[in-house]
Amino acid sequence: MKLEAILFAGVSLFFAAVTIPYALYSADPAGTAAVLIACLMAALVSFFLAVQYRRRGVRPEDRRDGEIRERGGPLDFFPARSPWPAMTALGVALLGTGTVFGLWLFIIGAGVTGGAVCGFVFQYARTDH
Amino acid sequence: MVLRWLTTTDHKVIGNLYLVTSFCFFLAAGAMALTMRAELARPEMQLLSQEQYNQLFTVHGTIMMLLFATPLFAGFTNAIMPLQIGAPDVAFPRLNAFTYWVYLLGGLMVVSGFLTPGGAADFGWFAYAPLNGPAHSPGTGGDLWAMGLVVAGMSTILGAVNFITTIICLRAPGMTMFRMPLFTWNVLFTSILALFAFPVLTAALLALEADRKFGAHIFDAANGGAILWQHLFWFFGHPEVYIVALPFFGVVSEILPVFSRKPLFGYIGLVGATAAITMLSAVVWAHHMFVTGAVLLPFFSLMSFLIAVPTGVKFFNWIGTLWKGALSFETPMLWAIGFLVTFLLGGLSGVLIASPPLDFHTTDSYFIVAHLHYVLFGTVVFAMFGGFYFWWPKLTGRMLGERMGKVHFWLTLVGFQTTFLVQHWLGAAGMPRRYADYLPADGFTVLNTVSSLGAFLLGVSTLVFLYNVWWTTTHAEKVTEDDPWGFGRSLEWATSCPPPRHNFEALPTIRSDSPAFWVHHPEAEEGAVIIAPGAPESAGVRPAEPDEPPGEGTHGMQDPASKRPPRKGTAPTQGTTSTKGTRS
Ligand code: HEM
Ligand SMILES: [Cu+2]
Repeated sequence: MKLEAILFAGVSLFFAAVTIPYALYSADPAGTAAVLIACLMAALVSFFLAVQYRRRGVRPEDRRDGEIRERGGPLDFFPARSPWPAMTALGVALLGTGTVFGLWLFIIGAGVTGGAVCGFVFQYARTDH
Repeated sequence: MVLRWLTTTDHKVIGNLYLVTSFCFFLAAGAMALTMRAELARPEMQLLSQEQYNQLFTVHGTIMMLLFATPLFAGFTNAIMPLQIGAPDVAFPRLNAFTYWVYLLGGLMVVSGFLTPGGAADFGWFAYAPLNGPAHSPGTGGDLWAMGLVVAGMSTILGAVNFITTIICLRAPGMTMFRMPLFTWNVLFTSILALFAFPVLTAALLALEADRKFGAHIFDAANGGAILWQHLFWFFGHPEVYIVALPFFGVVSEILPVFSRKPLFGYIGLVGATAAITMLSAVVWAHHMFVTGAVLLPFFSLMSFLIAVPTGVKFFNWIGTLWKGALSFETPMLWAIGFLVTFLLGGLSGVLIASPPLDFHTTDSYFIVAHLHYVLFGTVVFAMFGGFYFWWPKLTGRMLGERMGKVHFWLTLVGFQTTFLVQHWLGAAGMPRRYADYLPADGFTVLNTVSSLGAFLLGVSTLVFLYNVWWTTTHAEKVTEDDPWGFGRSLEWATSCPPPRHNFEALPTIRSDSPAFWVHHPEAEEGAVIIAPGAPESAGVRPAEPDEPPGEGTHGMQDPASKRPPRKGTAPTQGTTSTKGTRS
């Protein structure tokens, strides 16, 4: 993940280099805030990736001679099917339309979203870790 | 069937859902465009009222940008990117499904504005304040527009998170960053850009809705809100143009090498240029605000000129890829070349209007309409069809009809140029943008009629495509081989058409940026050798200096003259001068 961290560090540096002259000369608080936050966000991602790199070291996909079999066994858990994403999306859309048409619809939307998010979270939650 | 779709978490199915839905939105917005062009064909109002015209261009622009082009990126990415990096699925499959459903529902909210008594939103796709406020645009249509885009925008933000995570965490062993196909690189950069841009849009829209519904005064002109809206909108809006362009640059970068039988010329250079475009495009937003007189002109003008440099580098790379290749002109290649021509013209007029004195004269005229369609139609639509013809076997297991595809291409190319080329002159003659009507005495009549005729030709060409899809689905034979084009390079061509549920029965060893090419053309290794600086480790390519570590090559960004590929056939190896890998 070293390269990935460097990539985001580069993004962050670029925005830092832009923020300084822009803040000095533009007299535009909105734009200054936007580029500054872009810089900070990229720095955060870069920092996270750098920490991961320190913890995990070089992975097979980072090595030019990585072999497919180094990744034997289950890679990760991929849920086969789930009704909850569509349900959550419906809830979110109801929240949106509720904002337009009235509180009653918004409240229904909040209910649907809340229920669906719980479904989403607990569908594959296991206790036997 | 519907239940299967509702609960699916398979990235390929979700990708297809995205592609079909966004294409339907494209058809709807295209129908709106044709209605507008019909109205504009002759002076006086024949079909529409002025209000309806305003609604049509607003919703046309909104759909094309946010409900067609952006989700189309998510569609192609979902369908292809995990295959290209050898991943079994995306990192968060259920989140992925969620992004599709919010996109669909949010999109329906936006267009449902047409059903409300006041009609849909009519303040233009960039909804300038104070026109977008409750005083000037009352009516539910505007609220549905704002909230619909908030809901649909979640799709792009969360999708971007998902794609970045997938690329960082789910690559197959040996698939280092600098072996990723260009499409995947472009997806990565697009997603990064989306993460900067879309949250700003969402925030601005929510603030707008607070103004409209709850009496807030955030975008009141009295508090400088008009300029604030423009800053926020364009901080999203300009990157958005690249969010819908970069993935399609990626598509073209995949197509050209396959039909030139040559590796991509200047791989590192292309990646670097994409990175440069990504970052620069986040700092040019106020070139849309030159005429406000309230922005730092030198800064934004300079940045806008600068962004032409990496774009030019890309052109040299694409042309270098074609240069002395064994070209053949199957439909995907035709579309890719149509893209090169069209986008080049759009890029050139873009350099003109990056200069404030020129922009002052052309802004809000038809010159801008011509420019934006050259850029957007050129990238999104031409590259989309290229991608469709190219990857149709991967998506559906069948090849789209070639003959019909060629008819489709030529009709589209001629129709497009007829529609939009003349609009440059209309703009220069002074025809303003967003007007439903003009006078016979204005002298705009002839060119407008030509433009409208071109638009209807475009409509016909789309019917040809739909017929081709129907014909292919009902008549064409199933593809049996992994790589029906014969010279596919990236990993998606190393699995069946369409791929199994988790994509690969067995992954080939990855030792270059063209693993599928190695699998199908092991002989290319010895025979045909191209010495191509900047593409250090492709099949059939020998690095310029073999001992130079790839990934650190400085060749990529040199000036184009020194990048010309050294002559081929200088291979010191086994004397085979021409293998199919890289004949000229
Ligand atoms: C199918 C062929 C197309 C035709 C015939 C067409 C036609 C038009 C027309 C007549 C206008 C209104 C011009 C005005 O009155 O100012 C317009 C605006 C626009 N179009 Fe298209 N268009 C097409 C495709 C596209 C595509 C593919 C995109 C983007 C991906 C696009 C993006 C836009 C945008 C952003 C606007 C500005 C809307 C606004 O002013 O708020 N169009 N188009
Ligand atoms: Cu722009």
